Amino acid sequence: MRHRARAALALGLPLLVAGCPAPEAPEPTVPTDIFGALGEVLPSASAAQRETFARGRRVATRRFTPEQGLGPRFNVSACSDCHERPTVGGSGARYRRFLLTAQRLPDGSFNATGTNGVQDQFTLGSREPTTPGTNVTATRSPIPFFGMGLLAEIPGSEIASRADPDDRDGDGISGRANYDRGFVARFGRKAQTASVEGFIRGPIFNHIGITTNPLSEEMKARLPVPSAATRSSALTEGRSGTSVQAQVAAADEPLTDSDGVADPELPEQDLFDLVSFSMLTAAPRPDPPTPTTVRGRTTFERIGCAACHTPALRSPRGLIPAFTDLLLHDMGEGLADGVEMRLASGREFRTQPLWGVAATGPWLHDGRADTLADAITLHGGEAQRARDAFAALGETDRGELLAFLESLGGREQVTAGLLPPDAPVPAAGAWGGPLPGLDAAALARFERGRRRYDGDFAFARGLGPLFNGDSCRACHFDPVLGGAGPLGVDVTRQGIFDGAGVFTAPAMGTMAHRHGAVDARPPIDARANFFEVRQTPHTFGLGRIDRIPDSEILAHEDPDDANRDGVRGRAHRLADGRLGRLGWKGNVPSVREFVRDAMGAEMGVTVPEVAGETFGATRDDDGVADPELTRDELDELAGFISALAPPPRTSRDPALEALGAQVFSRVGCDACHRSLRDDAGAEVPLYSDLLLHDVAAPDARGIGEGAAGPREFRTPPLWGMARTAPYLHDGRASTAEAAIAAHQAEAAASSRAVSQLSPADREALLAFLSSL
Amino acid sequence: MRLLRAALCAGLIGCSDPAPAPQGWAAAFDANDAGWLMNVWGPRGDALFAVGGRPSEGRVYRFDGSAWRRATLDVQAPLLNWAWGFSADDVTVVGNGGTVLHWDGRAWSRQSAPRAENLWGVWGASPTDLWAVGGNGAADDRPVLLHFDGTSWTDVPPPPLQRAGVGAFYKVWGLSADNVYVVGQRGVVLHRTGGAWREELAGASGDLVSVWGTDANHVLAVGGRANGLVARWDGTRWTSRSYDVLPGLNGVWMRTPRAAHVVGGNGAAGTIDLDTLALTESTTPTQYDLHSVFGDASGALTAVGGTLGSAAGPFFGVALRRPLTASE
Repeated sequence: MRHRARAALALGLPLLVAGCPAPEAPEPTVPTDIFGALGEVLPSASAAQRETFARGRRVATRRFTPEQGLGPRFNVSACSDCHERPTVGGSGARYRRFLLTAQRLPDGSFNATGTNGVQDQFTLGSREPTTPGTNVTATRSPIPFFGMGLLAEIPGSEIASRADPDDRDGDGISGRANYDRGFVARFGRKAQTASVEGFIRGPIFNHIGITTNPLSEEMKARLPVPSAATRSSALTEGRSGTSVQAQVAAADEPLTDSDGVADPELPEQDLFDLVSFSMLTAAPRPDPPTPTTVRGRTTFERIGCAACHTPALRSPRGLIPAFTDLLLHDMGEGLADGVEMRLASGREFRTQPLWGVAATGPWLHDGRADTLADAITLHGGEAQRARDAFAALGETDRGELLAFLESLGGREQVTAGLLPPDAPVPAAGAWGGPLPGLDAAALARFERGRRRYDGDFAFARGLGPLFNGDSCRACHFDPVLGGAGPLGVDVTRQGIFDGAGVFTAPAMGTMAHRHGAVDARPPIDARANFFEVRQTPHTFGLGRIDRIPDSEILAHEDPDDANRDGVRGRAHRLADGRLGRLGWKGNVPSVREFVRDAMGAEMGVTVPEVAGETFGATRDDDGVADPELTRDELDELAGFISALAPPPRTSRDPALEALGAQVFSRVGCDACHRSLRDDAGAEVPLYSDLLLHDVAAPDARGIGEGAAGPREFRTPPLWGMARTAPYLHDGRASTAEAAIAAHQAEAAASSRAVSQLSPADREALLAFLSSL
Repeated sequence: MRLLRAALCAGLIGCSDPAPAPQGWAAAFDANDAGWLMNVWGPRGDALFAVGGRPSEGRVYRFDGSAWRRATLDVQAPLLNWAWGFSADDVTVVGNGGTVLHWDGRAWSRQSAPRAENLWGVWGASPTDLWAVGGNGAADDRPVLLHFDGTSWTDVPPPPLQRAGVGAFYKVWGLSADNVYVVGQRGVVLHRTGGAWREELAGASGDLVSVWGTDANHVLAVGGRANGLVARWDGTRWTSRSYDVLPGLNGVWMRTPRAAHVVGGNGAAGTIDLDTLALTESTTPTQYDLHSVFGDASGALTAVGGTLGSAAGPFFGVALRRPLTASE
C-alpha cells in the first residue's frame, strides 16, 4: 500500500489539481468533446494539434523502404499495416497477428527472445529464424489506439485505486496495476507500458526495424498530453513530490540497429507527430442509448462484466467511458499465454477497453474469437463467473448485451474486411475499377466479388490450418484493393541445398507459412537452409492476360537463343500440357486456377472439385467440412479478378514518355517486356512475354516451381509499376532503377545499357515506365 | 468511490503529510554540468573518483575530502562507465568503445583492450588480476569478458550460455581471485570458482546491472529496467524478487548484509536487508537516474547519476552524499 500511495503522489498530482478535491465538488461527467468516428481527431484539439494529427497520420501510413531504415528484421513496413481496422489507428485482422517469443529457464526466469520479445518474420530477403532456446510462443493481435491520449491522462492513482490484488472484497475479482519505472502502466495487452511514446518507439523498432531517439524534454512538454519531467535541475523535490507525469516513463534509450542506415531512422519531429497523432485520436463515439442497449447495459453490469470493464475512469476532463479499469486480471488457463511483461504474469491481461469494440475484431489478445459472443465465452479466471452468467443468459438478454457492446462506438464502420461499408466502386478503367463496358448485372457481380475479395475468412469458415493471409485483400491492396503487397506480406518459400548446391524441396512443400495455430510458429522443414521471399504482385488486368492465346505466348519463345540476341525465354508447360502464364514462376495457367491456388496455398481454404481445374487443395484437416469455398464463391472471386481493369496509363509528359519508349526498345527491354495480343487481336499492353527467363546473378540461389528452374522467373508485367513497388520477385528493389540494375544473365546486356544511358535518356526511360 | 477518494487524497499535496524528510541525502557538489556520472569509487573518504562524461567525452571528478574537482585527463576518451582500484595511485577506469584508462598517481594512460565494445564494469582481486566486462547489447553480439594480468588485457571467451540472447555483461565484482561474479543482460550471472567461469541461473527475469556482496553467503545482484529487481545468493541458492513500484536498479554497495544500499532510476534509493529482501526506501533530492552508489572508508555514502540514456543528451549529472549510520 505504501508503494501505491507513493505512486499516487507521483502520478496523480499534475493531472488533478494542486490541492484536495473539494468535498462539495460536483460529480464529474462525461465530456462531450472527446468523441468522434473511429480514426477522427479529438474534437477538443486545437487547430495546431489538428495539423499535427494530420502529419502524424501520414507518418503512421508511411511505408518504409530498406533505404529508409526498414529492417534488418521486420514484420511489416508501416504502422498502419497492423493498425488498419476499420481505419488507421485500429486493430488488424488475423493476417496481421504476430508472435511473442521467450525462453522459460529452469530457474523460472522469463527471458524474452526475438527482437525484444517479438518474433519477426523477415530479414531483408529471407526469413528471420527463431532464437535458439525459445520455448514460449504467444500470438498477439494488433491493439487499437483510439482514445489513447484520453487514457494517458487518467491519473495513475485513479487506476491504482481500483486494485484489489488480494480480493479483499471477496467478489472473485482481484486486479492489480502494472508498473513501469515507478509509474502505473496502462498500454498494451499486459498494461506493460506507461507512456504513449514508449508504446510507439518499441513497436516501430520491433516490427518495422525503425530506430528512434527518445523525444527531448522540450518535445515531450509540447505533446498533447504534456509529458516532460521536471529535469531542468538535478535537484528537485524528487519523485514523490514533483510534477512528473506518467508519460515521463518513456524509455530513455536510443534505439539502434545494424542495417546500414544512419540512426535514428525516424526524425524526432516525425516521432513527435506520430505520438501526437496517437494521443489525439478521438474516443469512439457511442450510439445514443436505445431501450435495447439500455437493457443490455443493465445485464452487462448485473452479470459482473463491469467489475473489470469499469464503465468510466476519472480524468482531468471528467469521466472517460472506456469500459476498462486498466488493471491486470488473471484470465485463466485457457487464455494464458505464458508471457510475462513487467509485473504481469502469463495468465494476466489488462482489461481491454470496450469503446469501439464492434469494429475492431477479431477479438481477444490473440484474435482467436470470431465474434464478441465467442470472446466473452472464452473468458476465464477472474472473469469465469461473469462468463458463466453470460452463457446462462436467454437469447434476448444475450442479444441485448451484445447490442450494448456494439453501441460503444464504431458500429457504422464495421467492415468484413477493410472496405468501408459505403466505399464506392472505382470508376471503370480506374485503379481497382472494372473493365469498361460491363452491364449492370456484371457490375453487380463485380461488387459482390469485390466484397468477397476484401472480406476476412474466419476460422469457422475454414481459414487455415496454415495461412499467410485471411482474405485476398490481405496481400493484394496496394495502392487499392486488387493491388500488390509491400514487403510485410511477402510469402516465404523454403528449400534445402546440399553441399553440391543441389536443391531439394521439402516434403511438406516449399511454402513456409506465416500463420497457423494460436501460440505457435508454423513449422518448417528441419533441414531447410534456404529461404526466399516472394513479393505479392498486383492482380489488375489478369482477365486480359487470361485471354491471350497460347500461340501468342509461344510465338516469342526462343529457348535455344536461336536468334543469338542473348535472350531466350521459354514457356512454362505444365505436365498436363497447359501453358502457365501467371505467378512469379509462370506456373499458373488461368485466373480460375490462380484463385484456387491462392485459396489453398495462402489461406488454407479448400476449393471444390471442378472438371479441368487442378490447382488448389480440396481437402485439409482443420475440422471444417470441405470444400470450404463454394463453387459460387469461387466463381465470384474469379469473375471479379477477371473483370479488374488493367492499371490505367498515366501521362505527365507525353513527349518525354515517347522518348522513353524509344529508349526502352533501344536498350532491349522489350525483348521480354512486350505487349501481346488477345484472342480478339487487341493489344494487351502488359509489357511481358509471359515466358520464363534467367535474369539472376551468377551466384544466385532460388526455389524452383514446376518446370521453372530456381533461377528462372516469368517476365513480370510492367503495367502499373509506378504504384506497385517494391519490385522483383523478392521485392528487393524499392525503385525502378534498382530493379533494372539487378537484372543479370539474359537481361545483363539491357541492364548494362541502361547504366550507360545519358541522364536525359535515363529520365525519359523512367518517365515511360512510370506512365505504364 | 470511497477507495477512490482515499487514493486521491493520498496523491495530493496538502491532503496528507508531506513526503518523509530526506534521510540525509544532499548534493555532493553541483554536478549538473558535469555530464553523466556513472560510477564513484575510492580507497579513502578523501580520495574518491567519479567517472562519466558524455558519449563523446569521458570525464573524471576527484574528491579530496573537501572539494570535488574535475581531473585533467591526459588522453582522449569517450564516456567512462566504471572505476576500480587498489590505492589512490592505482585506479583502472573502463568506458565506451573498449576504453581502458589507468591512473598511476601521476598521469592517466590508455591501456590497449582487445575488444572495441563498450565496457561497463571492472573489478580486480589484485593489480595483476583484473576483470572487465561489457558488450553492446544486441542479441547477436557476444558479451565481453576481459582479463588483465598486470601487463596486458586478454579476451576471455565466456562459457556457453543457456540464457539466450545475452549481448552484454554489465558488472563484475568478487570476494577473491577465485570467487568472482559477473552479471548482465537478461539476468545472466557468471560465477568464477575453481579457475573457471560457469553460468548460474539466478531466477532473474530482466537485466542485472550491478553486483556486490559482503561474504560468500551474502551477494546481491540488482537490476531490472522498468521494475526494481534483485537476485540474492545466500551461499546455497539464488533467490530473486522484484519491487513493483520501484524503477529499475543500477547500483548496489554494502558493508553489512543488513543494508545493501541500492540506487536506480528516477532518483530511487534505499536499502535492502539481504535476509528478508525487504526494501526500505529513502528519499533523494533528485529525479535523475542514479547509476551507482559507493560507501567509502570515512563512513559516507556517495551516489551518482544523471539524465542517463539518450546519446543526444541532455548530459546533466548528479552527485549525492550522506553519512552512513553504524548499522549500515
